Amino acid sequence: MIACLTIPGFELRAALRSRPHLARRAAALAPLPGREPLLGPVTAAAEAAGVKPGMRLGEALATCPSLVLVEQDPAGADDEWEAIVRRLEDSGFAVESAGLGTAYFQTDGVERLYGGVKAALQRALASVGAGWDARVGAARRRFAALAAASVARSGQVLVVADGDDARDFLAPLPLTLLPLEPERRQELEELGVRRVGQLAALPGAAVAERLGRDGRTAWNLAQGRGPRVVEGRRPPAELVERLEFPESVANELTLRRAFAVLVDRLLARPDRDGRFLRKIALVARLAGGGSWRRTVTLRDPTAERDRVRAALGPKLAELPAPVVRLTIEAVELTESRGQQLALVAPEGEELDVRLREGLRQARASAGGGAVCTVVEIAPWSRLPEQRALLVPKDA
Amino acid sequence: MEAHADGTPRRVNGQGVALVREEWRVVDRWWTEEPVDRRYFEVVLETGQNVVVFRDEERGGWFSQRGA
Repeated sequence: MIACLTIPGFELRAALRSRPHLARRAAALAPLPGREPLLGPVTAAAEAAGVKPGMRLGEALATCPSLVLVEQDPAGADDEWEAIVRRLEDSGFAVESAGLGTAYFQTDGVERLYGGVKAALQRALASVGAGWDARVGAARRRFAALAAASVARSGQVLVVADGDDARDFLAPLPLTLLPLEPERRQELEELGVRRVGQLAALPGAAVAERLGRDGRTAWNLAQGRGPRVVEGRRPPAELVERLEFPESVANELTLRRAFAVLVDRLLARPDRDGRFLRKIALVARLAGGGSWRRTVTLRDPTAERDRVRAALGPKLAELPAPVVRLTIEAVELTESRGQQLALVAPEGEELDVRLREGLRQARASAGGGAVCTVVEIAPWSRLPEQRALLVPKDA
Repeated sequence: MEAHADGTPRRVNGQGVALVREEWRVVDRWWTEEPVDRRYFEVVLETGQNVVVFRDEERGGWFSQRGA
């Protein structure tokens, strides 16, 4: 069986851990500074007052003037989620984390240990801990497990059988469960398709023709098909270095020096054991009580101080507030301890392949339009900026 | 960028202007939403560097121009 454990509104619950008195009041997760002013998850009291997740800030405050906005704490939420995943792993489950508040795991390996599927799932719920209102759904397929967890009540374990039972279970559920773009979902709703079962009843080819590949995937899920594999994660590295400041620091020079010291300390850790850094994170505890986190995956794993600094250093400029604690984490390390260098410098076709790959990666990280070609349009113009155009090169 | 009272450049990027070699005006695209009105100077700086600068009369402000 595949199980899915969900904790609705996880980021809000995590932020409220340090302010439990707010959990019973009308409160909502505030938008991040500089982002669109849309609310995150809301408490039950806020929902009763007419405030909904995703509502515009102004509208929400007009609807419920006593609404308390809870500052986001991404680093705190990450820590809490990591602790929950580790507790699940300690109970014997190989966990695949699908974002904050959602985890998949298979029960096959531990059913005999705990005396059946339900007992194993109860054990998983218990290992999450009190106060999180976790729920678990289990089925033969990942999507059915997610759907079961979405409709289960707090603390409930809901198991869905395979085959027709799974299809019958999915049929009355809303389309919002399916991984569809909002525009596609709206298109379906305008056609009168509002439930998973209604989508499943449509001919697959017609759905694919109208909605493309995403639509076809959603249709397959609605049919009770889809992946039945869970890939348990590899336990993360525990290489962390932090610096506490005696008072909050906003000076960029001081932060850069602190960052350089942290990088040196991290690379000098004996338990790194010569392994290279593949993924690193910079975490800050902010003076106002919130937190900030940026993660970088290195294209080529490295243990060179300058490369680590160059990859993560520019992120310091994005800090939104003075910092009281700065932390650097080696999120992922390589298994290898050496690097194969090229004996002969690439040229000709190999160089072209590398260039194309480099452009592909630039496009993937910076989005469409990141790579352009210079096209000459009026080389005779007296104005140099009118002689050529930058045309996005996306193929 | 600093200019004399007659509008000719005196200092460019902190360097004194030794000589104004040429001056010309470009008025173009006046029929569009983005008309161009520029007063160009080709100058030699005290360091011996040759630069082309212009004053944008539409938006105000000085710019240096690279490219022929």
